[in-house]
Parts: sequence; structure tokens; C-alpha cells
Amino acid sequence: MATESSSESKSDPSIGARIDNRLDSFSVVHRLLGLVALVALLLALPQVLNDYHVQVLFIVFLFIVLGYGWNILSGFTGYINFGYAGFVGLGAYVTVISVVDFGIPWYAALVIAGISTAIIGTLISAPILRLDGAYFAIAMLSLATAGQLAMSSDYLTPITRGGSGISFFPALSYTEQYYLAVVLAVGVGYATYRLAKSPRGLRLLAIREDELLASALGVKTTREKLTMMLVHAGIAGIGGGLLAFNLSYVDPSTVFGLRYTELPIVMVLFGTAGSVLGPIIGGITFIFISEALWASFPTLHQFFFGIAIMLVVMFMPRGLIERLKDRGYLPRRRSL
Amino acid sequence: MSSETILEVDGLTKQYGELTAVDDVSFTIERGTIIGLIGPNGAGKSTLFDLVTGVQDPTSGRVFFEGDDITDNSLEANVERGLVRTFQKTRVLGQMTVRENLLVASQLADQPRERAEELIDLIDLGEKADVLADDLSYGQQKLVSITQVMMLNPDMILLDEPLAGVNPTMENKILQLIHEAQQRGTTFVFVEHDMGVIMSECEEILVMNSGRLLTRGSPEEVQEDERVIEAYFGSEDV
Repeated sequence: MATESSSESKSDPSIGARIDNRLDSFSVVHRLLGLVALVALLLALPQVLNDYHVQVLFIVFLFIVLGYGWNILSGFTGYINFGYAGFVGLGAYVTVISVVDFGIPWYAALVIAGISTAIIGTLISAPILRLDGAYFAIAMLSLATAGQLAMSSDYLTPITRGGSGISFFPALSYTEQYYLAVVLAVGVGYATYRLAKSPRGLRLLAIREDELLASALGVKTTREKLTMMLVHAGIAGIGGGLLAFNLSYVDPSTVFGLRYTELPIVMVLFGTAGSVLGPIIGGITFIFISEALWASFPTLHQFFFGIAIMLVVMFMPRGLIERLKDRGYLPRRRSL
Repeated sequence: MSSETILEVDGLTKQYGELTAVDDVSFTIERGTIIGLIGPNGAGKSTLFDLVTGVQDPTSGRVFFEGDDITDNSLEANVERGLVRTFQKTRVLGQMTVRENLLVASQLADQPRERAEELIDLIDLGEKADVLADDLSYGQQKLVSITQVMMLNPDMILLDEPLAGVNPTMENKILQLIHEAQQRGTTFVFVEHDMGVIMSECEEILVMNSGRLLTRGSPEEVQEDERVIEAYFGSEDV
């Protein structure tokens, strides 16, 4: 990418410029080796950690996957989806029904969940993508609420078992679930990295900045938004399936819970919307904060969490990565 | 329609409730020309651009581009056909660098990277190529906004006040860009309040007032037209 390294930053002795130069010096082999080493380390962790810590790490990686899924539409195009939990819940139900009622293997159930959530989610939300700003956010929130109510409605009870939900014995152990979450997080993270560096990534960011101008410059905004909605919903569907395996049950209030909208949004905004590292930084920070608050203040943790969100929005509206870029601690690369 | 006609506007009208912003406007534009569109504030010039390029739908009337009816086309479809525009309020992608601002328009450009570098050199913004557009001066942003549409290598560009608020140096660069594109065969219609530029740069001038097309003619003819003087300065009888 032409903007990967700035000629200005080359002569600038700031930390960001030094990182920029160092990143430039890494060959493809170096990068690949680094990635393999990181994945190997993550996969080895369950050997030295107890079940509780593996479960916490699973939650971190599950939310990193969900964060990347949210980021790919809302972070890149600025279409803020306040109803992401609707896609997560749908994916969870499709996965469990596929496994329990149809005897489909877990991996195929996850694929079915991803594809069906992507298609259903995109078809339902396509008209809503014509709205912008707060109207889109409110409409998506309403859609998720409608999805939750539908799962417990009398009409769907024969399939969804209504409000009592479906319990099952998951085919995967906690450690296997963790491995799966790591692989998915690395996969969607790499896909986001490729997207951020591509011309399409630039077009998506142009939609976020000024959709009318993007149209005037030949960006096919409707097509780009629909494509990203497909990926956004598909990742949520797979994430929902993974969540269902971890919970070993699904019911409407759990898998459509506000948590699966709220946390990905906060994580991504904290990290920086439309960035590559944002969901990782936000995921690690906020899941640990969330776990710590929940353990220390079981009745008040949501209150403190709300305060944390307010502080992020008030003092770091463009997120940590942008703040670090502005201050010269990180190079101005779109691949970060 | 003549074979040289690139744009034909036929009876275009836009009403907002009781207000008629554009009132039964008809004209044709010949390929490869630079045409000025002038008129007092509120004359309907920007609305006419919106109707021609698909940003707004007309209440009635038709628009033909290269012989095809494009009245119902979206802005994106018109851009793909080679009819592009800039906006009265300067619009750039502020959180992107100058180079990225140009590369956004890469989908329709041939060899986009080479073209982007060529245009950046042409507007002397090489040193600012990796600077965010938000950090540029107003004049430089204006220059970038016009260069963006040049990336599309269009057949026709509608420029809405391209020189408003820019200094003479920047004005020369913008005019240089326009001439460069015209040599490649691009047709221009531009709205401008600087009469000196309009008179020196345009082959013909369209004058609008109160939503209607008041007159059309060469710069000399328009300059001496009593109706134009009255539209700008009012009647002596009042």
C-alpha cells in the first residue's frame, strides 16, 4: 500500500517511526514465523493453565472473534449495529438445532450456522442499510429484540422449545473449544488485516467518512455494505455456535443477551473502529475488566462497566490505536 | 440530438412543496467544451447539478448523457458512465492521506497507482502525499477534491464552485488541472462566482435566475445582456 510508510516518518525519530522502520525490515518469512510462534504459544497455554483460566481465555478469544465480526461492517463502514446479539443468538440456535435435532457433526453445524446467519441476516437487514446513523442503529436493535421474542414465541416453540431453551452435551471439551476460538480469532484477524490493506478496505473507510462523496468517486456503496453485512452476520453466526458449545444450552435471554452486542462495540471503539489491532486490544482489556468487575462486584459490575464505556467515549472517541498514532507512538499504517 | 452533444437536459423541474428550485430548464452541452453556469445565490445551480448527476430525483423532465436517458440513474451509475461532479462544500476524506483520497477512486481508473502519482505531481502535493486531508489548507483540500474526480478519467465533470475561497496560486493549479483534463477530451460545466475566470475560461455561459434558465451565450453576449445585469444587481425601476 502506498501509504504503508510515510516519507515523513522515515526521518522522524519518534517511537512510531522506529516501529515503522522495524516493520518494513521484516520479510514475509519473518512475519510468517512470528505468526506461527504466536499461534503455537496460544495453543500450548492450556497445558500450563487450569480449567478456569482456559475458560477465561476462551471468552477473550470468543469476544475477539465477535469484535472482528462487528468491526468488519460497523468499524469499517460506520454503520453501527446495535443488534449484533440477534445474529449471535440466531447462530447459536441454528448450531444447536443442527446438532441436537438433525445429528449433524459440530463442525458442519458451525458452517451451517455461519452461512444461514449470513444469508438470513443480510436479507432481513438489507432494507435497513438504506438508513444511516442513529436510525440504522435503532432499527438493528429492534430487529435483534424481535429475533429474541420470535425464539420464545408459540409459533416457533416446536423448533426452539420456547423460553426454556435447549440443553445438550457439547461434542467439544473446554480445551478444544479454546483451540477453536484461537484458530477462528487468528483467521478473522488475518482476514481483517488483508482487508485493511486492500483497495476494498479503503473504499469501506470512505463510506464511513462520507458516503455521498464515496458514491461520487465510483464506490458501489450498496454492494460494499451488503457484502460486509454478509461477512459480519456470518462471523456472528459462527461465534454464536461456539458460544452455544461453551454454554451447553441455548435460551433466548442468554444467547440474544445485550452482552453480545455491548462488549464487541465497546471493545472495538476502545481499540479503534476499523483497525486491525483494535478488537484484540479491546477484547483483552475489556474481558479482563469485565471478569474482574463481575468477580468483585457481582451486583454492580454492569454499573462500573457502563462508567468505563462513558469514559472511553468521552476521552478517547477515536480509540487507543488512533490516539497512539496521533501521538507518534505508532506509525500511521492502516494495517495496524 | 447532434452527434457532438454529450449532455442534454430537457424540461428539468424540481419542486419542494410550493417552492420550485429548478423550473423547466432545457439545454445541451457539446463534447470537449468548458461551459460556465452562473446566477445569483439561490438561482438553482447546485440543485441542477444534483438532478443531472442523480443525487436528487427531478419532479419532471429528462436528462440524456451520450444519447442515453439517465434521468433515473443513481449517482454511482452516472459516475460509472463517465459523468462525475464535485460539491459546493469542499468534501475530502479527512482521515485519509492525499494519496488514499485519490486511490479511493481506483475502481474505475486505469492503472490507478500510476495515475494517482501523476496527478499528485501535477498539483505539486508530492510532499503532502502521506499527510491526512484534514491537515491540508482549504485551498489544498479544494485541489484534492477536484483531483479525486480526475482519477475517474471521466467524459464530463460538473464542478461546483471549484475556485471559491482559494488563493491565486491555487486557482492557477486548479485551472491547470481543468486544462489538462480538457486536452484529454473531458467536458466541463462549472459553477463559479469569479466572473473574471468565467469570462476568460468558458466558451459559453448559461445564466440561471430563480430556478429558470435566463439566457445562454458567449461571455461577451452574456456580459452585455440586460437581463443578466438585472438578475445580479436588480432593476433600476425598483
